[in-house]
Amino acid sequence: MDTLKIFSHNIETGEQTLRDMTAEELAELEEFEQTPPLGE
Amino acid sequence: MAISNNSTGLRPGVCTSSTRPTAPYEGQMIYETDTDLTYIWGGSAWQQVSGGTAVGNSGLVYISTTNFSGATAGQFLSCFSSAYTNYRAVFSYTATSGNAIYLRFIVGSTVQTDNILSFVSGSTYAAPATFVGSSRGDQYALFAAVYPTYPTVASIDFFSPQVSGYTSYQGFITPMDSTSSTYSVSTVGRSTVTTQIDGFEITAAGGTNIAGSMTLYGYRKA
Repeated sequence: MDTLKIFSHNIETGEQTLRDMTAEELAELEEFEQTPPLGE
Repeated sequence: MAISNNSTGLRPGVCTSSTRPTAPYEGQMIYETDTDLTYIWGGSAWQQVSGGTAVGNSGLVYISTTNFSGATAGQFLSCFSSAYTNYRAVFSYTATSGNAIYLRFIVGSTVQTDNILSFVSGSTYAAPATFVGSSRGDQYALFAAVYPTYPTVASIDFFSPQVSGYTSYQGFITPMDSTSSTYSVSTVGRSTVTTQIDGFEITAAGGTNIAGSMTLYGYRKA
C-alpha cells in the first residue's frame, strides 16, 4: 500500500502541509476503522 | 451632484462605540475606531454596514477556504477563537473509492477517536440506534449509507467549540447524485470531551484519498 498522507491547514497561521502518516497514526486509523459501528 | 476624487477618500464621522452621536439623523454614517466598524443610523437603530467581527448583525462571516487532495485525511487546525461563539463548516468533496468518511474533533494535536459524524458507503442503511447520553451515541452520532465517490456536500455547525465544556453540533450530508441508493442524512450530537476543541479532521477509511474543499464561517455575534 502506498504511504497514506495527511493534509493539514492551520487556519490561524495559514500554513498548509501534506505529510506522510506516522506509524502511530496508521495504527490509530486501523484501530479506529475496526471499531464496530453503532447498532451492531 | 457628483463627488469624484482619485487621490482622497470620503471620511464619515469618527467616534467610538461609547461616544456615538446622541441625536443622529437618518442616513448619518459613523466609523468606530475601537471596533473598526461602520454604521448608518436607520431612524431607530444603528445598522452595521459590513465587515468586522466585534459586534454587528446576525449572519455568517467568512473565515477561510481550504482546497485539499491526494490525502487520506484533511486536518483543519486552530479553527476556533473568541472572535465567534458558533461556527459553520461546509465541505464539498469526492472520494476515490466508495468507503467510509469520518469527521472527528482535534484537541491539541490529538485526533479524537470518537466520531462526531460518519457517513459510510454500501447498501446497508442503519439509523442511529442510540443517541447522545447513551453508552455509544456520542461516539457514533450518525451511521448511514451514502456514497462518497459521488460529489458530496456536507454542512455542520459547531456550538461553542472554543471554550471548555461539551461542544454540540448539527449538520447534514447530501450526495449530489440521483441514484436511488444514495441518501441525504442529518446528524446532531455533542463531543465526548469537555476541553476546548482546536480543530477537526475529515478521514477516509481504507486508505482512500479524498479531494475537495472546506469553507469555514463564524456566526456573527449579536
